[in-house]
Amino acid sequence: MSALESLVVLGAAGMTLALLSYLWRENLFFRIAEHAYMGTAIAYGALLSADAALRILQPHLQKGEYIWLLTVVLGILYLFFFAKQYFFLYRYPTAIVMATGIGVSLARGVKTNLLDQARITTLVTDVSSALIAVGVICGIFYFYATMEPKGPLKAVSSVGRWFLMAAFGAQIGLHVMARTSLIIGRIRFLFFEPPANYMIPVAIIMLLIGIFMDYRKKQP
Amino acid sequence: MKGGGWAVQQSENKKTLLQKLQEIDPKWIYLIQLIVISYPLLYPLGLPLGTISSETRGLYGAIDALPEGSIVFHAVCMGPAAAAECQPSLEAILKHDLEKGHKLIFYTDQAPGIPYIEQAMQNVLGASKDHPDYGKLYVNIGYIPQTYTGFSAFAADLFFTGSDVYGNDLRSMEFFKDLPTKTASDFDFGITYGSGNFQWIITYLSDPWGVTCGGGIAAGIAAEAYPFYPQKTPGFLVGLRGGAEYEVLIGKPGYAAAGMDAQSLAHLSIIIMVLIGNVAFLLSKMQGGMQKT
Repeated sequence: MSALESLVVLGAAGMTLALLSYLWRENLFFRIAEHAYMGTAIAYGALLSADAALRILQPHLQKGEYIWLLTVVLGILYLFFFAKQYFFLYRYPTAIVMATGIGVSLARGVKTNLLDQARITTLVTDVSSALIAVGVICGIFYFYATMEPKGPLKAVSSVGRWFLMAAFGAQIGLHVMARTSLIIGRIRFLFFEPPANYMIPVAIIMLLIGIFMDYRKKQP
Repeated sequence: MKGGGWAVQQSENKKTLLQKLQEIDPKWIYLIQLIVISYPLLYPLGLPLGTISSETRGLYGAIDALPEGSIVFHAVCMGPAAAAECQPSLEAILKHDLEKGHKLIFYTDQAPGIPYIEQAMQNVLGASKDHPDYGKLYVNIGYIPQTYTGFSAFAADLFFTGSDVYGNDLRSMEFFKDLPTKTASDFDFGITYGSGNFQWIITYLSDPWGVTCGGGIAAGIAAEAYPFYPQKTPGFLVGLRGGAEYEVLIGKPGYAAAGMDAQSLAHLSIIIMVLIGNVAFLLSKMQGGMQKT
């Protein structure tokens, strides 16, 4: 590993530990790392978006299809977000992007996510699919607010509530798994990717100094 | 002032164990979690993985059944937040693709996705743009902004971007020469990775272009994928566990399988803490009720 690569790994380890230090309390190192992360991510994203736009534009311009330059003009109009007087110009690209997005989503989404899902839900082939069908129907009735839930409607909506609670429980379990995977990834990086592990004793010493200073502040 | 402090101190001392259990400082829970996760990473326990899920088996079976030369589309739609979970799945599936002799095409709808494609190609294929078969068997389209509109344009014309992520002309690549339509319908299989959503690949690739699709998705969005299984997708990998299961199925336990000890212990400790908190809450409620009567 070259000296530069080692520096990069040390920097990444330092950033990781600085961000994790939030678990103790908000502090200067956390804020530095947070702002550095946000700045880097936004700059990286902006550069790659510009690169992708140029890549898509280039073949059309080479063919002499200059109408595609309109997209550049629309892109520039976004910058009028910062100009109070000409703010209305910002609305044109926003409207076009939103309208295109909604058009594409509706055209495809209604079939896949509504019609097909409704058909699949009613296809009861085994116990699992029967449970899904019952869960979906009862779950929908839980949110049915046109009539006061009485009698059978109340029973159906309370079954729906049980299904919803089970779904939320499963969702929380999956989220725990997702978050644990993240910390596993970071701990592995800190432990097994030298020289990242050199930052661990540094972080522990700094944390202990911080805790000691907090303790002294609390003393009368 | 001093008297008030003394009174608070006295009431703190009078707190029962049940009350203290419900008011543990979260910092102690973080510390316990840190120890519980770190220990098995340093000293692996070799806990059994359990039964491999039908979703993982389904995806494995579908990819395994693809003949040599099939084109597998990999949509690496993940950033740092999902990479810890999904990168092992991506690499495990790539190893399987490599064994079966599939052609691979990579795409991402997120700018941070590019380094993860590079990393996977380096780790599994040994090289990315410098690979001798790059342009013949493997192509990295790179980042196309806007998932729905951007991908729809790409699906309708595979040469939509003109060049790959490294600036090579797509039309001159051997990869695309024998493709009959030069649209997404030429793909034999599609897989999405990440925490964005799963339904987009069914909505924009599977349904309109007739391509069978699966996923290596973050656990947090697994609930979105289940409604499509098994009618619209043969299977998908859920989080790190899905990656570990796939690694076992291809006979190459790796990064994901090694992390499952930590994953299991972390879950166990959380379950124990939830139980302790709830039992303490119920008991203190019962005690409060008894004192009132």
